[in-house]
Amino acid sequence: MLEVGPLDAFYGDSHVLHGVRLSVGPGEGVALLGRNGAGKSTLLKALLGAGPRATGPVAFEGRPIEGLPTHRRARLGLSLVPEDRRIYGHVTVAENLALARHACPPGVAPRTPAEVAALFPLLAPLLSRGGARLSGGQQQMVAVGRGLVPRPKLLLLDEPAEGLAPLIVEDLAREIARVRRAEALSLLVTEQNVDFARACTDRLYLIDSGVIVFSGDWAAYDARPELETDYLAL
Amino acid sequence: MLADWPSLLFNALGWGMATFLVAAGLTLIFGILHVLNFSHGGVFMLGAYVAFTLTRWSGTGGLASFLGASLLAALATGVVGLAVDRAVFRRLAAVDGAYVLVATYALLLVCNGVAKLVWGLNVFSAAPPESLMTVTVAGDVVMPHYALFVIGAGLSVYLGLEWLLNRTAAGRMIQAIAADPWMARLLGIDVGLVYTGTVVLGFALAGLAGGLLVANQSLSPDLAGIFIIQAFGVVIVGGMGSIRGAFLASLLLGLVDSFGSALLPSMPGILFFVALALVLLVRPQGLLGSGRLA
Repeated sequence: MLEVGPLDAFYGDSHVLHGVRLSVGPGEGVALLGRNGAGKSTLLKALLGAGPRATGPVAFEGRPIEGLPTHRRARLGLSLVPEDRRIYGHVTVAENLALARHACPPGVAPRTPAEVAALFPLLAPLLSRGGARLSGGQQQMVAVGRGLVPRPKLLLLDEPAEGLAPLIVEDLAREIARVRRAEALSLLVTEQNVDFARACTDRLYLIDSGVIVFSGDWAAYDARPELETDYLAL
Repeated sequence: MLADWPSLLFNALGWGMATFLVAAGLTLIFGILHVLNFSHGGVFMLGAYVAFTLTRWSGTGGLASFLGASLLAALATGVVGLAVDRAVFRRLAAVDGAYVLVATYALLLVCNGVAKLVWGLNVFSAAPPESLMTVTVAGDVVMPHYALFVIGAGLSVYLGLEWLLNRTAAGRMIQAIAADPWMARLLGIDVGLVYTGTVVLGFALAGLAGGLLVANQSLSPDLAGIFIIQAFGVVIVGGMGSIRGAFLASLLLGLVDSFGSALLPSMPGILFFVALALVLLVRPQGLLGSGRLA
């Protein structure tokens, strides 16, 4: 479904990603773990052409997309939920959801706010609330819900658990795992929170200083406890 | 001295709506693209020349041909906007603000050059359409119908923009782009297309203002500078990029100008600049400058 690499990415003169190779299969959940500044967000943004200057192949459903502008990539079924959520404050939650209809490929009907609320019941009471009046957890829920409006094929979540209370993190992980299974959705999620990532993915990559240092399933990761100390512990 | 305050109020409204007509496109482009278009006065002037020429050709002097000429002037400057967006504004997206200033100032010079090439250095004078040359007298207030027409036009443009931005789905999308274009792209919105549309609309509004306001002005390349100072004033006072702010500021500065000229007849217009300086000192973000478009 998604085949990346070898991909290099730059911010100005600084070389952030080095020959990154990564793939996500249809319906698969994949985590990308690493410390702050390891290059996780840069990679997701590079996949959408939304930030860093990137060189190297990116193929989505067998089709090269690295030359397409961001909105065209979104319309192919790539939906990125950014780390800072970026809910629009000037309109309601329902209108935030409606704005994402533009990412629908031609002929696909967007999920209505009611359908999104059916996927995430916690959103139902928030639909008429102003986008500027949400807690951090609510913002994240709205951001993920908005990401699902155009019925994406691949959902990219950038550190969804960051800054959320532990109970909310558990809820969110459970909801995302459930929606993923119910909708046969592919998922690529970046995290520092191992438990969150484990709850909603099948396998993982570790990234450190812009280089992929491990790739495998969770059993392989658990068999090598030094990975956590080397690449994730602060 | 202020005994004729109803007349002063009427003058304030006339000044305000004429200025708002010019300021609307300026603040719209700034609000959405965050580009301060120094060439706006030049586009306004080109609109005035085009409308003047069309009216002279049609030769009827009627209201319909005056309005039609203004709309065609808007169409013409809108097409100029399309070309300018492709040739200039798109290249400014990724560069420092200082280049934007230089580039749009250069455009102003180009507008001046075009006007001099096509229409020469002569000063023309245009009359309002015959049906607007009459006046209505209410009490002590003499209301020229052309002034009433300009007030109506300013109000219509304001209400039209308010409706577009706040009452339509396209308007909410435009506001989303103004607030966070990066996220808008991720949501599949073709931001570049909306930017182009905004530039076309902003330029068309400048041309429309030129066509509607050309009557009673002496038409020369100097026209580029006449309304634009006032327009920049209301854009600053209203809060850069806010349509509603520009409208309120037009009314406010209209009052300041009208009553100021009555109070200090030896220094007409001076209080406009005093008010501008005061707003910049006390509330530099402008009346409604919270980053909101409307």
